This record gives sequence, C-alpha cells and structure tokens, in this order.
Amino acid sequence: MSRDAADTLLERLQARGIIDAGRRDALVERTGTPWWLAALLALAAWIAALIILSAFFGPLLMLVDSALARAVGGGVLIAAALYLFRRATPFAAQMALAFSLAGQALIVTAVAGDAVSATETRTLALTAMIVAAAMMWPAAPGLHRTVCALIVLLSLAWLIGPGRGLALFGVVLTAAAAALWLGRARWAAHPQAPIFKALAHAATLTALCLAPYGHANSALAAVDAVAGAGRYGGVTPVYVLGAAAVLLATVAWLTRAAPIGLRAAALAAAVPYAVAAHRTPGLLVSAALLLAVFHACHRPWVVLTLAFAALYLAELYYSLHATLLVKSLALAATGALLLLAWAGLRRWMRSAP
Amino acid sequence: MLSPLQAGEILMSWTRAQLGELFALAESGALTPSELDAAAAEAPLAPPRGEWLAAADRLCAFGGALLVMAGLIFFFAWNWAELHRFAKLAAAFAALAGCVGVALPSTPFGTVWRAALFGACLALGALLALIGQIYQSGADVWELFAAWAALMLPFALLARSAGAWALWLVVANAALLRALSESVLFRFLGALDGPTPVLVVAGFNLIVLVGFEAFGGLLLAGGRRDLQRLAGLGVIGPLALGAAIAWWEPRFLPLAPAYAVVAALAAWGYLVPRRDVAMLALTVFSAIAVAGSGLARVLPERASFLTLNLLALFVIVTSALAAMWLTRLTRETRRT
Repeated sequence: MSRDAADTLLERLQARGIIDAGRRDALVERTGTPWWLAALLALAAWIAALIILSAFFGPLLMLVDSALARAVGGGVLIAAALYLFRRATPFAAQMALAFSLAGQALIVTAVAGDAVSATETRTLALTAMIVAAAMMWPAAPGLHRTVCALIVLLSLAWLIGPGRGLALFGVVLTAAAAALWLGRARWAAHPQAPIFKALAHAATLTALCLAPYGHANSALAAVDAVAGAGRYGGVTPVYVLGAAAVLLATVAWLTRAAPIGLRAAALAAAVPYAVAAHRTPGLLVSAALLLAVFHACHRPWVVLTLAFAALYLAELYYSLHATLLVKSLALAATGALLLLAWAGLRRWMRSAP
Repeated sequence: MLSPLQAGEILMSWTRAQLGELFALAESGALTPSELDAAAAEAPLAPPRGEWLAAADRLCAFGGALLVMAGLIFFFAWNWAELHRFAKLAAAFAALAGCVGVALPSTPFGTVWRAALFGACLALGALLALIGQIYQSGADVWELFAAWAALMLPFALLARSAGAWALWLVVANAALLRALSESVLFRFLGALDGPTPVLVVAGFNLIVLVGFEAFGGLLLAGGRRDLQRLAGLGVIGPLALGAAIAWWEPRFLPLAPAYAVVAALAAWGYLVPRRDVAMLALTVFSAIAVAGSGLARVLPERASFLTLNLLALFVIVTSALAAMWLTRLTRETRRT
C-alpha cells in the first residue's frame, strides 16, 4: 500500500470524525514498514538466525542425534520464536519465523523419523500439519501464520495424494479463497481476523499453484488406463466443472445487488468464457480469484493473480494434454471473447447515463 | 471534468487503495470494530462502480489481446519447424511493427504508449535471437545482448518509461557480464571473479546512475526513482561483494577503497542534497555485510560457538540500529 493512500485515508477518517488527531498519530505509527526496508531486514534476520542455529544446533545434533534431542531442540526453538513474536518489529518477526520453522522441522523429524517409507512420509505430513496448525494460534505476525497455513494445506494435499481427490481439493481451495476474500469486509474487524487472513493468503497461493494440475494429467491418465485403477480418470472434468462453478458463483455474488440487466450481462459473459476456457481450467481459477481479490481491494494479490495467469500460460505451452493447435484455438477463442466483452462494455459505457 | 454523478460517487465512496489500507488496519487490530463500522456507514466497503468498470475495461482489453497473442504464438509453435525462414522473420517483424503501430496513434507517454514501446523492446530481442538462430552468425551471446541494448535505446528514449529503461539496463548489464566472464559454468556471474571486471560493471552502472540523477526528468515521464535505485544496486552491489571478499582474498583489495568512497558519497548524497531512504538503506546494509565479513575474518577460531554468536549479535545489533534510523528517516520524509 502506498504511503499516499494511507495518509489520505487517515485524513479522511479524521475529517469525518471517525478518529481524532491523537488516534491519527497513533495509526500513522502503525502503518507498515516500506517493502524494501522489510526485505533488507528479512535478509539480515535470516542470516543472523541461520548463524545462531548453526552455532547451537549443529554441534548438539552431531553429539546427540536422537528423537528426544530433536524434540527438545525443537521445543526450545519454538519457545524462542514465541518470545520474539512479542517484540513486534520486522527484524524480530523474521528471526522468529526462522526459529519457528527450524523448531517445527526438528519436532516433525523427531516424530516421523527419516521418512523413508510411504507410511513414514504420511506420518511426516500428518505431524507437520498438526504442528503447523497448532502454531497458527499463538499471537504472531501475519507472515508466520500464512507460512503455517501453507504447511497445513500442502500437508493435506500430500495426504490426499494425486487423483480426483486432489482435483477436488484444488477446487474447494479456490472456492474457499474466493469466499474469504469476498467476505473480507465482514471479518476484517473480527478478533480472529489475522487467522482468516492467513488462511485466505495460503488458500489463494495453493489454489493458484494447483491450477495446472487440472490439465496436466495426460501422463497419469495413460498410467491409469494401463493399471485400471480409475483414480485419475476424472481429474480434468472435476477441475473444469468445479472451477467454472466457482467463477459463476463469484460473478453471481458480486452482481447480487446490481440491476437485473447488468447481472444477466455479467453472467452471460462468464458462461461462454467458462466454455471457451474448458481446455485451460487455470484461467477459470485465475479469473475467479482475480474478481475476489479485486473486490477485497488487495492490490498485491491482484498483481500476483495476473502473474500466475501468465505463468500458467507458460506452463500450458509444455503441457501434453492437448496439441499446440488445440491449445492455440482455445486461447484465441478465450481472448476473442474477452475482446468482444471489452467492445460491448465500451458501447454500454458510452450509452449509459 | 467530472460529471456531478461521478463527483458524487467519488465523495460517497472509498477508493480501492483506501479500502485496502482500511481493511489492513482493521485486521491488525489498529482500527477498532466500531471505527470500521463508522467507516462502513460513511460509504460501502466495496470498490465503487467506476473502479470496477475501469478495471474490467483494462482487463478485457489487455487480457483479450494477451490471450489472442498467446494463441498466435502457440499456433506458430505448432508448425514452426515447417515454416520457411522468411515466414518466421515476417512473424517477428510483424510483432515489432504491431507494437510500434499501437504506440503511434496513442497518447504520448500514456499507459498504452509505454506498454506498446516496452513490447517493441521485447519483440526486438526476439527478432535478434531469431536472426542469430536462422543464420548461425557465430556471434557470442554478449554480442546479441549488446546489439539488443543498442537497438533498444531509441525505443527506451521514446517510451520514457521505467519498465523500458529497466529492461535496457538489465540487457546492457547482461552483455557486460557475459563479455567479461571467463567462467564456463557461471556465464554471467563469473565476471565478478576479479577486481577489474567488478570495477567495470560498477563503473558502467555509476555512469547510468549519474545520468539518471542529472537528466531523470528528461529520460523518465513519471517522478518515480525505480531506475535510479536499480542502477544504484548495480553500483553498490558488486563493489560491496568485492569489498567483503577483499577481507579474505588480497587480489580484491583495490575494491575496498573504491567501495568506501562510493558508499560515503552515496550516504552523503542520499541523506543531504537528495533524500532517498531506499538508497540509504542499500548503502547501510551493504556496509553491514562488508563489516560483518571483516569481523568474521579478524575473530579467532572462525567456526567456534563464541565466534558464530558474536557474528549473529553484530548482525542483530547493527540491523536493529539501521532499521530504527531508516524508519525515522522514512517518517520524516513522509511528513515533509
């Protein structure tokens, strides 16, 4: 967020009598650190944390490498992280994040061992999920909670495993992320808002990262045909139908208070877009999330969602699920529909009172 | 001129930027629920219709054009091997001409103008790469980058956009690094394996930095300082790396005084005559890195428990002091 936006907002809140001059000065102090300073501080904090970790835990684990030593070491690091979280400075927050992640890793390896067998790998994912979920609850900066939420979701994805279940998980995450962002005004002042926000960030990132899975199952489908297990057969239909349903539901929710004509036009534009993009379900996921984060006024995610859509196109180029000709036609059709919608929008804007 | 309806909408609504800040303050607990409710009573906590329409207009236009372009690229890729070389060159020329064609009727230095000329800069690189691929001229990669940077210059001068200039600076640095690198493994960063190439890279970026500090108003349409900061990173980064290595490798010693002079000048220049806290932050943290490397060199028993913790303590204390000072400067700059 730019400093200008923060300053004009606080001026306006004061002018409307929502806050007084004292509150305004206090809020100025609370507005965030510039990104470049936060980035430099993060770099310095991670270097310091890694030096400390190597000084303490390198020798310890070389001398006593047992599950108990790892569990105790992990507990100490998490306690240090919880102490640092109270300092509420960008440097302490980054250092605490490093300590917390190292502590979680030590505890997970203490419980799950070296995770060589499939059972141990599942135990590792389950332990990581439980530990990270527990670490989301203590008061901590948003970044730590977001990273913990990400660990929870990725562990869950690992436990579900490839196939229709993962496709359904991707769709559910897209829907959850869209719902969280669309309802941001309702939970922003809730006491648990930092947790909602962390979940929204993690669900959005995971949904965008999982999106290529919706079309990338051709190799798996071939294996599936030979093995006859039928586990991967429905990945693409589940992804396409699910993502299209989320997009249409998002459009319907956003236009719920609009005049009936405008609402019908928006839905009429979304349906052919969903049909044209049925070969590229990642574009449906990106579109639904873009609308939701725009409504939530979260500028970084607006930019990131567009960037992920561009990355999705790059990944699509190498995907084997269709020939380049089929993908070319699907992209051109989707693009042409958007250009038609643009022309229609321009015409409507000129004719609207 | 705004119509009364539009003016009324602006007065009765929060902008998207304001809403984003409002939500962030509420989520962090800085704004109380009653204050957020009061803000909601003032105007709806959702982007105004005008912003939705403007965003939809841009998204449909740019997204549609991008997808159609991507479709065309996929189509050419589908039968690329069978295409005659003239057809391939015609496709690349068409992309370049298309970008210039979009720029010509658009408002000078507006969004479309800058985006189209940025696209022309990219298309130029693709055209040069294609010529190199078809005719196998035997030229080294650095020559491709150098030619690209030279031919891109008129487009960057016309665009006056930070994006086009940033691309030019990255390409020019890539040409320089590739030309100076003698490493087989690290074809670009291998150039930093000696004091003279480091000085050449830093010197080039210094010339660019001074040029943009002196003529920034002419070279860039907006008032942003991203390009100066990028060039500053190109000066301070390599010199600080060299100065940090100089504690351990005597052949890098000439870079230590060079870094000291540049860092002192940057600290004074960006504190007093032209306040730029981001450049100051870069200078201060590079100094911490160089001093930290020196401390690691002079402390006895480098990998001992005490040495490692002393180093960590040094990084923590200096970074905390730097953060406090830089935050204070940021707030002062905002107030002025």
